[in-house]
Amino acid sequence: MTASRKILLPVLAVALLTACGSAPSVSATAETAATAETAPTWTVGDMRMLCNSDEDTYFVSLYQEWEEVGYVFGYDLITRVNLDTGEQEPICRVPGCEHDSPDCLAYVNIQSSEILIAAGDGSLLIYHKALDEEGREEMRSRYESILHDPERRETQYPGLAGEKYLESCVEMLSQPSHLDRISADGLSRERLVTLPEGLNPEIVCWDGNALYGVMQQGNLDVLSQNDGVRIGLDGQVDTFTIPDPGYTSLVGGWNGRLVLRHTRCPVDMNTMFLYGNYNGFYALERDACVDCWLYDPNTRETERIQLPGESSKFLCLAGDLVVYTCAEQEGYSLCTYDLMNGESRVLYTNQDSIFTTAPLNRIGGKPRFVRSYYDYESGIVELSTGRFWSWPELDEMIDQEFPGWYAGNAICETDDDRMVLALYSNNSTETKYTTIPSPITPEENVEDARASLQAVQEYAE
Amino acid sequence: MKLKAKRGLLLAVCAAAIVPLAAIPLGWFALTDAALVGQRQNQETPYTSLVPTGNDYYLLRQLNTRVKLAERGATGPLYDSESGMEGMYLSGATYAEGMIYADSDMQAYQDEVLKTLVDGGVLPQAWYDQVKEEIDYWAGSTYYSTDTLGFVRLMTFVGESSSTCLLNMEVDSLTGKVVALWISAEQGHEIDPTAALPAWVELNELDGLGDWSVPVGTDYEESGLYSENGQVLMTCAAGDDNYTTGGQRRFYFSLMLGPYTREVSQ
Repeated sequence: MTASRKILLPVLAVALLTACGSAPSVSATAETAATAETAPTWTVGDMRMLCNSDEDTYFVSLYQEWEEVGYVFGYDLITRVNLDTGEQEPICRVPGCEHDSPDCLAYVNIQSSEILIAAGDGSLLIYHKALDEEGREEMRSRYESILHDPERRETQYPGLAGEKYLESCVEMLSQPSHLDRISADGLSRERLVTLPEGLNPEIVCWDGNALYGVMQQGNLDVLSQNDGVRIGLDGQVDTFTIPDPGYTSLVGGWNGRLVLRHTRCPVDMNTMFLYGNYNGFYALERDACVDCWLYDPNTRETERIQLPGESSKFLCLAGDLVVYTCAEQEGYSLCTYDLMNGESRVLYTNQDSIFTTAPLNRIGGKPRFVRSYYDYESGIVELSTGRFWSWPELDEMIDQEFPGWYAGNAICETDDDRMVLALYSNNSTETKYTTIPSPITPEENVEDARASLQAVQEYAE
Repeated sequence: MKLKAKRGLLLAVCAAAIVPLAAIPLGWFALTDAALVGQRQNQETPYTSLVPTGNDYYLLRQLNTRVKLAERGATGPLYDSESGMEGMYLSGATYAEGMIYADSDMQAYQDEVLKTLVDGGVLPQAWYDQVKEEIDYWAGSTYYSTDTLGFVRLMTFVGESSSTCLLNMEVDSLTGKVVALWISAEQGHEIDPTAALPAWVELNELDGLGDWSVPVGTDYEESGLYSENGQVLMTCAAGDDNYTTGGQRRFYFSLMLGPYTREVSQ
């Protein structure tokens, strides 16, 4: 090779390298995936409470036994109670049915969690909430192993009753959550919806087309995230998110929106619990306010209602009224907040905490009473006046007709202003049902009754 | 011609041939540049700058891990093939019975940490004086425990066997940073979260996250600062403790730093 070639090659190499320099690069287009959630295809209808009474019937599960073994191994039968006569009969009217086996459409396993909902047309919806899959399978295999081991079965679940009971438990534990309907004529029971495995929501209200409920996600009760669940009577099951699910739960529906209970605290107390500061967590929990949020799942808009007062806590929804409690200097007050006009009112003040209230269903109307506690006594409170009726006071109204029986529970109000009471006796395991005239204050006397009750309370304080 | 002259001539000829060739790319670039100047081209991939995240901070990594493990209820050997998480986590005791009695060194450490918070403008002097006074009054016993991530919990109770807690402090043992403080006292005092929280951010050296702001529209609007970059929330609050001692109402002071991944603007 000559010297000129030796020089030429490096020069050409330099020339080529410069020519192969950076050309404008074309970057790959990264397509951004849209992740927006789609709005639900359903709308919330006219929400109503889950109640097990309609026009003239109260539906209840009553305990039965195959043999006289004394409240050990038995079963429940869904029973119709006629609100006019108090008469009871199984909802099943299939000719020839003995009403003592799972074949009867009124039969319910006593360990089963069933919610009865009067559909309003005479038929009855039955929601069965299954246990979580793991616990259910564990229980099922335990019962099954005893069932197939005669020696153990005879020791732990003796006799025919024991065997039937075990069979019934195994059968019940094999089933996921589901929704059934028993027809108005009591001749058929159909399965409307079988929920997917693992979906076992608590049901809180319904709108005629679907049940709405809430499902906790997570392995710690206090830290669970809550999801909404809609179970359409047409079989469609949807889950949906609710705002701030770590501190919010679904409790009902009002005026086309879902009603949420939201715990408001200036500290992220769930994380405090995870850190292990339990003193702090429980102090914050007691001091926290529990607000009422109205949520539209279609628009995802939330109206946040902060209930008045210190440490106010939303207890229940009764028609248009949010029933809540708040802390006062002299104790705790039971109050109402009217969603229609935003007015709030104190019903009564108690020295001790008021933990729970539940609305008393009124057939064909809005609730006028809630069950509550007053000075360690349970009874019902009239929402218009705050008048408290203890069970002994109600006993006086039934005493002559049912001597030896006492009022233990108020079931509902009928559409003709009667109140249905459940009666118990110390000498009987039976439950009787009767009605009394609703102890309602006439509208024209409400203001007077309120004033006199307030005066009495102030005097007592 | 002499050989030397011949070489010179050859080099000159070569240079004359190569230089124009080498200039071709230069000319090409000049022409394309001229054509591109003034033209607008859309950037099809969004520009992303490097922003700090919670994972860039040891303290926040530790807290994230702690919360994840606690959420799973993990309190022992942990083998989970699904999430790929293996190992062991032991949470520290939270009640006096399971904790270790703190000697004078640990009590001095507790006091030193409290003073650091006071000097840093995080803990109001009045609350510090209050809890010191009550610890003296009730002869409060201090206990401590640690978890396997290295968080130390120091707790002081009313008397020897009471469950009423006067003070609960949680500190990362490696850095000495406070991640939670709970004080319960018979008398409450004013707090100013708008001053205390930025001071605490600085004291915990988390200001580099760069986006601490008031979580408007949340329950923590008046008590918190939130960093979206770090997915972390810190709160400073005071209120009614609801526990009583000797029939007296008690009040709390709380500092909390923790992961917060839920939606903040609602």
